Amino acid sequence: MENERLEFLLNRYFDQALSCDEKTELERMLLESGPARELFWKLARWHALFRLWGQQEWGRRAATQAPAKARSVSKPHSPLRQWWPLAAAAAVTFALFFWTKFSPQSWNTGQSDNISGGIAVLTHTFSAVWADESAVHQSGEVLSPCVLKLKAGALQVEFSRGARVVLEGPAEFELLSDNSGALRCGKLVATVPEPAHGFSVRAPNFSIVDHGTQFGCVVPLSDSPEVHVFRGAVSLATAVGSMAARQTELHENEAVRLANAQVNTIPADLKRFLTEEQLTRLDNEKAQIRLAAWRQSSRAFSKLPGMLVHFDFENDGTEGADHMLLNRAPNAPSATNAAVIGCEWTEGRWPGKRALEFKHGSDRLRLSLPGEFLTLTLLAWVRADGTPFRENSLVMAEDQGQIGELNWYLYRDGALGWGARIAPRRASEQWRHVHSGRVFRAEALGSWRLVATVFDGATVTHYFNGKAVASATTRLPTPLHLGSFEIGNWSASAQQDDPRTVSSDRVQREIIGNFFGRIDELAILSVPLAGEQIRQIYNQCRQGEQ
Amino acid sequence: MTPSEATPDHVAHVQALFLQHLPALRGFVLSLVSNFNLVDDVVQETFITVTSKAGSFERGTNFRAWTWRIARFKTLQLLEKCAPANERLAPEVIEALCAHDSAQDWYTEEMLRYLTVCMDELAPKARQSIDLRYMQAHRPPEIAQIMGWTVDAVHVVLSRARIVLRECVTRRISSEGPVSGS
Repeated sequence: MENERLEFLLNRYFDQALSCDEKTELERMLLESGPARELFWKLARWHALFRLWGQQEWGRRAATQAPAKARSVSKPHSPLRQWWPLAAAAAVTFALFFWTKFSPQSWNTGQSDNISGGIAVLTHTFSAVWADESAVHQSGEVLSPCVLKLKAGALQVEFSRGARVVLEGPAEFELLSDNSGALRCGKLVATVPEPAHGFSVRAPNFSIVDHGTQFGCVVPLSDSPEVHVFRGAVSLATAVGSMAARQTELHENEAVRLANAQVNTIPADLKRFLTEEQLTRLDNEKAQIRLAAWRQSSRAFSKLPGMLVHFDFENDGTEGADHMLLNRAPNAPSATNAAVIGCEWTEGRWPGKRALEFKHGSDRLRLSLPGEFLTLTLLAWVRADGTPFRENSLVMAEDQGQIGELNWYLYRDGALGWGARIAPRRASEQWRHVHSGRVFRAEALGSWRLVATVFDGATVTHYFNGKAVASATTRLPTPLHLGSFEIGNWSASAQQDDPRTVSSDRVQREIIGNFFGRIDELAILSVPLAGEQIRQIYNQCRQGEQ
Repeated sequence: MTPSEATPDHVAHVQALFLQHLPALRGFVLSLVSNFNLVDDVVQETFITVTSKAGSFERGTNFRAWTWRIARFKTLQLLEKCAPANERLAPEVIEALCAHDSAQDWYTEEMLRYLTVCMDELAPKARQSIDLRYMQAHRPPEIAQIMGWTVDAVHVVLSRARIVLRECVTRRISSEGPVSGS
């Protein structure tokens, strides 16, 4: 009994949930009893192990964009156990449909910025025209419960439990949970693998619970809704007009139209729907067009006045191109080509576009850029898979303790960060930092984003996806310089004379500070790009997506 | 060798040892502060001190004991400064606990590997609560809000889930392979 109480209190302690009385009680036990202290350490080790797992799993999921990991939660069940939860889920869904009204709140468009609300991933978009400019989503985004409103085009959503839905616009589809949605209008095809059995779709006049299928729904704005089953079977609950609620099983190649208080059988017709294979093919074709357009504009971008460094991450067949990034800026000295250290080549914004992946502590690009700069623009296309460290390095000058050293990074809270050294080591205030506020929210992780920061000599302005998101007046005592610097990581100076003089900032980065994700284009200019120019760069690369 | 006499080589050696012990140190500190957010700060402060006092560490002596002492001191300092009174153990309790901690290994790769497998044995809601607690660092009241449960219900689910995981990992270790430090 005593042990149970102790374990209860220890659990409360590790969850930071002790009341004052409980804390006093726990402290007394720990002081008085050796076995209590033993149990403390035993549970502490488990607690630390769980946390270590959590941190690694977080990184792993972010890296693989895999809320889909949740699929593996389902274990194989005996036939009886498999059926029982399915029936229960069906009953709940039907009960929800018939005994509740669709309140306006159920169609809320609010998005949580917390990844805990992530229930699906937007895996493909094709010529998507969003009905609401403030609710535009991009491929790779983690989606929380929300309504996807398409005026035209198509998209694919992969739910965390494994169900995949292709939605054709015009359409409104609400993501209700990790295994259910509500089709207000439009057309969808759902493909439901075994771990997602029980996936349900609600619509104004019917509700479907899947039994392991591929099925399609059409909910026109001013016509009769239809349900088609292409594989497997579904349970269909209908309530048309004043007709009493009715439950039907629909099997492979069966379809119904719900009209005039009748449920009419019609031929199942997959050709009327956009399948995920077709969507993927269309998306890839569009991506190739975008890639070709980007290659053309990229050549012109390299020649912009003031271009110091432009890495397009393309392989032009040069020997050793996998180990060296060529600076595309005109007349660039060889020292401004970057050595590729550790990173792995992977896919960039589009199929066929190369990118480098940074995932290990030693992954980095290293180069040297001489000169001092009164103004500077930093710009990169990145796919951040997480911001686990205090400063997740983008462009970091080697810490020589010299005034004017520049740091550009994603901060732990998802902000875009810029820092310039304003005083030597040991000064009380050594760095001036400007942070953007949180831009890499949960839904922004795992998808490609344009980040840019401009220092025009008096003001630092951060841009995210072509829009200015923060600006601060910043006077510096000296010009900026990069010298020897790294992309995606940070390391101490080789000339460091006394390691004991390192600043606390530096120590933090020495332990952890690498960028965690992919980069497929990066530029540094000695001139301040205008907001309009950055917006155009963003729009050029996004053309055709919307 | 005094701190002022530490050579760069010796400092580098001490820092390498620090990194080698870092996972266990994080576990040790987490146990004493219980707050995930404070761990980084304590570890960072410990690293600074370990570096600046590298000269007082003699090769061949117990690096772990030396570093743990520094970490304990830094923990007490930061708890005093940052943690609400009801979330921090009294200094004398921390001292008593540290005197009792003799384990060398905190966890092994095998334990972590088995734990990953065992996560799949949890019921979906239990798994969600564990994800929210340990992956996303939410406290029980936040988890309750997200899951639409009471805080007490979250405590119960978390406690049961932890027992399931402990039993599962222990069972797998004993049946599938010997590991140390369990």
